[in-house]
Amino acid sequence: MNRMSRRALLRRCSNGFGYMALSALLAEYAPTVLAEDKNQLRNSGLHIPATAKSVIFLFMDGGPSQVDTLDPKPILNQRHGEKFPASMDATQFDQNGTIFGSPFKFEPRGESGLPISELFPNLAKQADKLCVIRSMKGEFAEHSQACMFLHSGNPVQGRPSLGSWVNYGLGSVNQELPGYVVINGGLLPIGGPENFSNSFLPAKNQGTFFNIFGNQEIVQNVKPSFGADTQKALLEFVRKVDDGYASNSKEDAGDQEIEGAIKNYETAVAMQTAVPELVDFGSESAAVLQAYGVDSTNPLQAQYAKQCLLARRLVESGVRFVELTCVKGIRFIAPWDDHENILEGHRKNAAVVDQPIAALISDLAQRGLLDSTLLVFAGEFGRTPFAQGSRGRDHNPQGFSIWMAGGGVRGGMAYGSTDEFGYRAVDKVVSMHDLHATILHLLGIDHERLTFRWGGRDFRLTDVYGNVIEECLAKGTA
Amino acid sequence: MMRGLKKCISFTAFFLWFVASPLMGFQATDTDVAKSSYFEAKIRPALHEHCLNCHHIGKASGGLMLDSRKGWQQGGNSGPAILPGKPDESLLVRTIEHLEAGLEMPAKAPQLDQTLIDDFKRWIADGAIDPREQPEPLAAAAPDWSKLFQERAKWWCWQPNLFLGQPSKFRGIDYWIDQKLSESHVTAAARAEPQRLVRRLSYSLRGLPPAFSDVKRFEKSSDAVSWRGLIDQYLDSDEFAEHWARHWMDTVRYSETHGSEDDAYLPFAYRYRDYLIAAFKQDVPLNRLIEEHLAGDLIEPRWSEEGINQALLGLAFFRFVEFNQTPVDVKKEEIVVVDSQIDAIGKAFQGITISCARCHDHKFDPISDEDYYSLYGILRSTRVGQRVLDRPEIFTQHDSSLRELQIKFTQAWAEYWLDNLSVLEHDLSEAVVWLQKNVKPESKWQEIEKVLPEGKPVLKSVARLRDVRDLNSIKNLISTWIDMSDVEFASAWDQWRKSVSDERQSLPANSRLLFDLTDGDLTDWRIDGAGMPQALAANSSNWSVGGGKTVPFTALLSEGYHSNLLSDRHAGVLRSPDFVIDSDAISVLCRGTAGARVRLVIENFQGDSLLFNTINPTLDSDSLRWITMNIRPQWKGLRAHMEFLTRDAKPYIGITKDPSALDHGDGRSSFGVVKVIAHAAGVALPDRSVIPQSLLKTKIDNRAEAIHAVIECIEHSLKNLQKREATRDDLRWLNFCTENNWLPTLPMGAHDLSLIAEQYREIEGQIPRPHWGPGVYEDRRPVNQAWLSRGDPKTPGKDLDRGYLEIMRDVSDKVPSDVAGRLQLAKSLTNPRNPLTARVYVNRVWNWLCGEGLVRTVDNFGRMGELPTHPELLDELSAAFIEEGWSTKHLIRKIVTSEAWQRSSAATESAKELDADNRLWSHMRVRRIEAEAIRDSLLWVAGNLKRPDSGVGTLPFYQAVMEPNKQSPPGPLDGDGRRSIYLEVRRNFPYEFLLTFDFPRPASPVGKRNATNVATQSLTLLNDPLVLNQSKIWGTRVRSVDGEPSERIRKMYQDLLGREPTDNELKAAADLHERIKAQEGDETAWHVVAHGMFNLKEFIFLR
Repeated sequence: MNRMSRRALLRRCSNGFGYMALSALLAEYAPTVLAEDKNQLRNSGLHIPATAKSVIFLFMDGGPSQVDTLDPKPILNQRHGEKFPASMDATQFDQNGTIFGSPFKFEPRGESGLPISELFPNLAKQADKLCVIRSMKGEFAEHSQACMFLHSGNPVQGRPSLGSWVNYGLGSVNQELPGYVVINGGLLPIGGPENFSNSFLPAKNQGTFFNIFGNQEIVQNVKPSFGADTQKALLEFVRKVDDGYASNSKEDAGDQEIEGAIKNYETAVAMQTAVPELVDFGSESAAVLQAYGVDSTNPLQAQYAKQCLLARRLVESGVRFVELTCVKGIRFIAPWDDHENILEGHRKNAAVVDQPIAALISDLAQRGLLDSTLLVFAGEFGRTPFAQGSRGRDHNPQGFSIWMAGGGVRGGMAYGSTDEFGYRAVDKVVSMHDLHATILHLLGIDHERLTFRWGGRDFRLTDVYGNVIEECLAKGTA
Repeated sequence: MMRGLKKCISFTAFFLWFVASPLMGFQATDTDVAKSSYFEAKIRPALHEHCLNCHHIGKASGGLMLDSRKGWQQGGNSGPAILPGKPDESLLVRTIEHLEAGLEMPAKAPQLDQTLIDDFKRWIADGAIDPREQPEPLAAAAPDWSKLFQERAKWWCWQPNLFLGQPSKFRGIDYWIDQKLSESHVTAAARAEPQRLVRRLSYSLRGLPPAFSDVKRFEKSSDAVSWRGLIDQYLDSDEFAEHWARHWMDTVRYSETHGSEDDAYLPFAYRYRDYLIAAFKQDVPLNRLIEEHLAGDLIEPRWSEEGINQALLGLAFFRFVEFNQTPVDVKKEEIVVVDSQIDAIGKAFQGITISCARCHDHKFDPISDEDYYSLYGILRSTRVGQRVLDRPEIFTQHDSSLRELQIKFTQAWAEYWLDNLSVLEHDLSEAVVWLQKNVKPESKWQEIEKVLPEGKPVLKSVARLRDVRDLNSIKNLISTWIDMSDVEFASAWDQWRKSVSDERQSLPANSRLLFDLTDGDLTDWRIDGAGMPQALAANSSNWSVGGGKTVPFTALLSEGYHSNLLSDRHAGVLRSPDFVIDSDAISVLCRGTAGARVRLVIENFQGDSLLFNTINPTLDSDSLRWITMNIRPQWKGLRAHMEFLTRDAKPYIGITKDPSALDHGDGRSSFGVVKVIAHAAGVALPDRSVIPQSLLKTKIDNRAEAIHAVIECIEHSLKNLQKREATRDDLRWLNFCTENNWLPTLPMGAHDLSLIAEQYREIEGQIPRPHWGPGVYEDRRPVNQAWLSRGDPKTPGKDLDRGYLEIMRDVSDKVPSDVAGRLQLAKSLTNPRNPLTARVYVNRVWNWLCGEGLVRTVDNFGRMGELPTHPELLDELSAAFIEEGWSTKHLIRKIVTSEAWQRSSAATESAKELDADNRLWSHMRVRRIEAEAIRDSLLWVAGNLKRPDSGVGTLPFYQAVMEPNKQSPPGPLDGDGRRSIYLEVRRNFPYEFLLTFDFPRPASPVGKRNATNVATQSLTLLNDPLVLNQSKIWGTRVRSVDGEPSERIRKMYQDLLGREPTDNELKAAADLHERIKAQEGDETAWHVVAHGMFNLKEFIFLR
């Protein structure tokens, strides 16, 4: 195929750039198929056989403590109050105290015996589905940079978010919904909406907010300005005049832009219906609502339950990437950021997310969606095993834990480890880029080949780094 | 070219490997030798440079290995890579010739030079002799830099302009365009219809729809003269300047906040925006504008009518950076900030990606990492600060009268008190007696205060001094007076005077004097601001002045630097030279009022929250006091300096929810500083003694004598003051007495003094409040930056001299050792022989007018960019641009008067067939108008656009409260009727409406915006409250005009689209109006019609 015909082909893809990325990505794989059947490509022509079709990213804002949740270190309790014997890095507050034993008990869970602390009694029942990575290592000990790094692989603004890359690479399944949705519980990661930025990628890959808190419109501009009849009349007028304009411009270079813009109105109108349907839980059974905790007496848990349920509905509808931000009400920002009191703070946080997340996992599993939906539970960093003051913990990017589930990851396992105190990742260290590479891999994308040329450089999510963590992949897919 | 050691090592390794490895066991014939030497000479190096990184045994991209003969024989997923003897059928050749879609090689790199492709073909044609039996190791590093450099320097963008200095060769735009068209047998499109031309011109020049009257006039007579008239009319308008200033703001990543946790505010950034608008209005030459951006403080000022030095505002360019508020590693943070600055300089002014060379030599361009760190040194030696923009003399014109009045006042004051000392002696004795009777030694000030009699200021002061913390000698003196019995008095006095030791004699143990401004000099310090004194406080007759008060004279100054020797309206910054932090703590003896600050600035880091609050304390005492800053271990060994600032000189403000708050206040604030010491943690700081030496020499027997001795000391000092011979001891002592109400500055009933004070206040009140702008300053001790291995500050190499790129050496001056080098940098950019500056700008202007550049990669002219479609035209336009005075308006005029620009967007058959991509410019492309043009037109057409405009920005309207604590509060829905350029640009909370239509984020320069076409744009135009609001305003306004509905519809078409509606269109709108009117009434019907009009594609597209 020569240059010219390839360009012509791309022009034919009315959906614009999303397809362009896909085609560029797939051309290498099966160039002859490209011209014949776009749908086939969308479903199968990936770099790697995909195990996940979509991602639900449970962002644990502020950085949960690994040694209180997923990485048991009994030595901390044995030597509680002693001077921390290893070298300590500069921390955010420099109020480093003594060794601080976890106030939470750990127990082996499920058949796998994966230890999870008492903070997560419900999640613990899903232990055999969780793949815990205990050897995460970040590079930034401060929220805004760490959040940007987790979200975009870069500490400052200006790079596309993980969800944007995924959508850019894979395109939308459902044209009536955005491919990248942020279910906002009222707290954005520090650094604000730029964490969900498409940056230089085409605008359609930007995270769309579903603001599911407070008393406001859930998605902006989806609620029609006028009643149905009026809007219909308005749209008919617009269509009539636009058709005249389009036929008048038929000979023009760039006329397909005008056609595209006209077509967008069909999608827009469809979105006006699709979005309210999604956030209407009327069709859900009482049992499901209860399992998630939608009617919980803890209003924060009830809200997070709604977020989790909505996430499932979005994934069911073909949304590629859903991120849940934390609910507002525990702290004024970054709720897991327990500098003062781990015991109280972490207890409150876990009480909000434990039941809804556990319910989400089992609901997805029940519906046969867990295999194709990757769940990622992660904060921007972990916390110090020594105290800040006497009862809190400071930021610690040197070693922390996250978990993944579903979507082709191996369950009931812990990967990598931190040192004896849970301070630094030492064995099988996993960088943010490695995590990103692995997520893309599960979606069928080779992270080195998903690139975008901008300002004279080919950019990719993982910059020049990143290795897929093969051991975390379920058998037969590696 | 001199290169660092690192290069030599890697090259040697490469060389050794090269010699040692190959050819073992290879029996060769003569021809084979020739062929294999061809392989060695041409093919092996090419494989290493372009292929093996991916296609070696360790990686085998696509399953293919090219590191041995066997590798390519087996081939990869797509079969054997090479068929010896058959170059054209060999997959390798097809991929490097870009004949295999999706397999264009080398991946993510430009296509290989044709000569190299030919080398491969020849080698394959000759049988593809490859001696490599085993996979060979990868070369350790890139080949010799100087060779690469020379190779890369051949790329077109580095070549001199073909036409510079040769105007006789100029042919004009249409000559070059038409020549290529005819060569390619492509017919140009006809001239566009007049109505479309006017609309195209209006949006291209002003970002707003044309007035229908202009369209009609032009339709009547659309000749070249009318065209020129219209162009000039638009070029002269404010709307042109605003629209084009916004283009420029894209390229400098304009933003009013710094991102990170609080999205901290950059004060007065809006003045830069207004500056740009004025610059485009006045058509300031581009070379001047660039020099102002990089070195506006080092070139001739450019005064506005309001007396503002415009040149200084260009410096805000350096300040549009994102930075992390609380970095644990400050040096790493400096790298992020400087990298953003280098990225912006490279892309905005040169169209190249210099910042790619931070971790390694540029992958494709002749820019080394040493170049990068040379440039880094310039930025590292540049300090951040707010600049006063006014003429300096407006702050100092009253200085001499004020000084005279101060001397007069001092004399009168001394005289007054010499006449009234007996009153003080009486009051002191009375105080001592009262205190002896009424308080116990252990009594605290808080208890005493409650029982003190009214109207006894001296008693009150003595009682309080008994309890002061930072004046031990005074505290002990008073205790001796009050608490000692008559019998012990003589020995107690003796003990007291022996105990007095103060900072005049000694510094605490383990401490080091960092800076002593007691009576030292200010060498290497910088004083910047509005009328601040240029010297230390003199020894007598200097007062600290707080002009807003009844008593303007607040303290008699004895030592140090004080910003308010004449007025606390004199504002600015005192900056110390650099030093390296090596202590646990730094303490500063200083004072300050009304939000003044002392800051320890480490590696240019500007934040002041969390970790950094202790080194950015606010000064809240008019008396000198020790302030201690604790140093965190990670800061030791870093470069730092001290800054003392009056309130408005602060370059950085935390969360700012009300930007207009900056303009409030009376601008009064002051600071003073005496010394800075570095010391160990927990050290007791020296007592700031004020006791005069003469008092310490006196032997005293009883209380009354003691009090009298004090009075005598005061008398002695006052006499010295009167004679203008006061020593530092005298002044300290007298100031102590003044501060503590023993010798009030303006005693009751001292009419002479009041009169002088009154006169002083009147004159001082005329000192204006300065205008501030974001800027930078020269560093007094510029430093180089060491080369950093892979950009890591922990592995520094050798220092690199400050300067611009090696490849620009012919247009660059060497940077002298005593300056940072911004001026030299500016001059190398504006040197007419700089091959990039004019080309890049001319190409951008072309892009802003035509929707594509002559070079389509407008921000990258380097090897990864595209070639110009018409290199001669680009050079001619650039050369003419330079020779005709770097005038933007002139250039625009030239382009839009060309036939090429006026062509229709209907491509001819030949163009469609032969040049679908329009690289020959045979026609215009349909394009969508920019985000701001859409929003501004909504206001313009509805009639609520504010004109003219300038000043503090308005916050955008945020529909959703996404983050109540950190998010800026929403501004008014219609943005106060202001054009979009006047809406604040906040990094963390950009305006969704504009973002939807590809408003660029300020992370990096954007010379060419995206123009996406997505459904959320339709949703926005259908449902966004702004569109609804504007439709209502427009609809209501239309309805208020008398006439038939069809007349009103006609008017709407004229205003929005600059044309008459067709009959069908008229009918469609009238039908819509009728239909809605029947259901919801006439008013709503007009709102809906207006809303419908705003949703027409013709509104957002230009043809």
